[in-house]
Amino acid sequence: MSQPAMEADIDLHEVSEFLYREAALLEEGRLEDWVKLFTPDGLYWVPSNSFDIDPERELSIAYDNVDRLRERVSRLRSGSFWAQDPPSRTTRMVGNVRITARTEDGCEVESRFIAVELRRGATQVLSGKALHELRRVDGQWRMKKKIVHLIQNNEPIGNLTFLV
Amino acid sequence: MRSFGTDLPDPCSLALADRVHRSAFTDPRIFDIEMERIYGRLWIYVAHESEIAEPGCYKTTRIGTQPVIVSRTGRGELRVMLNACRHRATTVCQSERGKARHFICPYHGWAYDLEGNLVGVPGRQNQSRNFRESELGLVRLPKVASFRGFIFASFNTAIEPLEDYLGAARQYLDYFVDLAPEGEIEFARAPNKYQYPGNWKQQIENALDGYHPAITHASFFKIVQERMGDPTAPVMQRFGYEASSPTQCRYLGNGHSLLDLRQVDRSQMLGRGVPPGDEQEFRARLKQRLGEEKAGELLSFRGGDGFNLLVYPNLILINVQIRVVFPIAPGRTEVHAYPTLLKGAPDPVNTARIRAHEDFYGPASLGAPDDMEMFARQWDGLQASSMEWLSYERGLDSEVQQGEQRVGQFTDETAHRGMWARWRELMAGEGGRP
Repeated sequence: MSQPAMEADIDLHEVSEFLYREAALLEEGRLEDWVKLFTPDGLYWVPSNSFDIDPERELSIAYDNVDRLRERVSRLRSGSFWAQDPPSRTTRMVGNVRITARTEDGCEVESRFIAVELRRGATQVLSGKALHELRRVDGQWRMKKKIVHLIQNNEPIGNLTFLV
Repeated sequence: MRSFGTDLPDPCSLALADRVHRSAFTDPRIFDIEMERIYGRLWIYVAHESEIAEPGCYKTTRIGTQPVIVSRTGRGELRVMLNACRHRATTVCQSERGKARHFICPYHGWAYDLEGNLVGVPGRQNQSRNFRESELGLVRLPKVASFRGFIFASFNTAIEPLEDYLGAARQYLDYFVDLAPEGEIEFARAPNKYQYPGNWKQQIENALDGYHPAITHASFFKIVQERMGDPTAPVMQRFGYEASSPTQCRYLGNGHSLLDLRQVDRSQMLGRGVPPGDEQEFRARLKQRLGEEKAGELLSFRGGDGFNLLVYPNLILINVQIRVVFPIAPGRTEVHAYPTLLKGAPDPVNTARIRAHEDFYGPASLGAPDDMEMFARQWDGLQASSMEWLSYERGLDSEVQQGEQRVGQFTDETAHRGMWARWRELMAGEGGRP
């Protein structure tokens, strides 16, 4: 096997590990730690209604900078967030991980996920494609962008106040 | 305990001056009567002109539970017709929106033009002698009209003109639309959609409920305090949500109602900032069209941020947003929430409106999910059939009549009582009956 391919294998393993860890933080409700995975200029984006929208003129389910993400966490901890009382329980599978582009200090990663949410006796299956734009900062992977394309983003969605 | 047995319930006995019977929400027979006497007889909001801007454009939606197509014909006229083939009722159009010359039923191939005329029947020669294409167009709603871009339709040939029906609500639709420098709004391409286990009237009550924000949205107001950099800022008092606030609740007549927040300055409360240069440009453009005084008035409460308006029974205007209510069943409701854009405003002003919408109204936002949660819990509680009556007496002793309108304090239930009085009239077959 050629040298570049070997490097690619190593990166893929490392990047996959990062995605699994990210999913675990969300699953375990360790949201303060999850927010720390973003770079200071990070973006968490869940488009609404279709995959290809202009977020300046069209609707997103979430279009959050890091300040906004911190607000979400603060709210989840407020004790009066009824839509998460009781909280959602989720389990998440991440797979089909591919590195789609490499940059000087990072890479772009495409993956698929299935998240099952259980709350008030009802389960909701959320699934789709995640696009991560990763940067290596001080030897650690950080998310510059996480974009989540839910396959059901044009269907009636009840409560997405937990994070996908 | 009261039981209706097999008799049709008398709807008028279910909504009294200060209380409403739970079955007005839960009884499937009541729901059926509502579909006939409310959704089947009033002007019902169906679409915004910006959604079907050009000839050939169409949108599919529902009036009550009935599927309809709203189209703009080649001559630019608006048509509203049932989305059901005259042969075996198959829906002839599946897309939410689009542009077409024909609607062709995918079952047997009957084809209709944008006016609903039947223009093609495969194997025509085998139809009977009595078969008349001219009698088999899509069923058209006899009444279609639009006001400031909001398109309404009615099954009721004898209904009053739309402007008369809207009555006092027109002023607030004007406020909402006039904030656009070009005097027109447009809808974002698609809405947030949500469904909840509960009755459609829960959503319209909620939109006119000034009593719930302090409790239901407590966690949102904590965020507002954080954004202001002062965790003890008296936001409820400052933004008009207290029982002692000068803000109002107003029953406008015809079922239409208003929560009025224009008495307080809420500029610090919502949304993310617009760059100062763009804000100045926006203000200048608005003043150019409306003049200093009118523009100043509108800017002081920022159009729809100054009030919540219900155009009975299914259209709600809040802040930057249009919310449309679709009854599905007594215990199942769908809601579409569209952010609106101001034509002629600098782009950052409209982007801020999109962000403001996402902030409070989407499925992952800081507001609407808590309302949905309350609807679901309310629906659970409404199954307590041994508890028959719900309380609607808040503000009953202090509200006042002002001309045709009834005015209470913001946290009062004046609008709710007005809506239920209208419901009682409609369900009795009065008002709105041909």
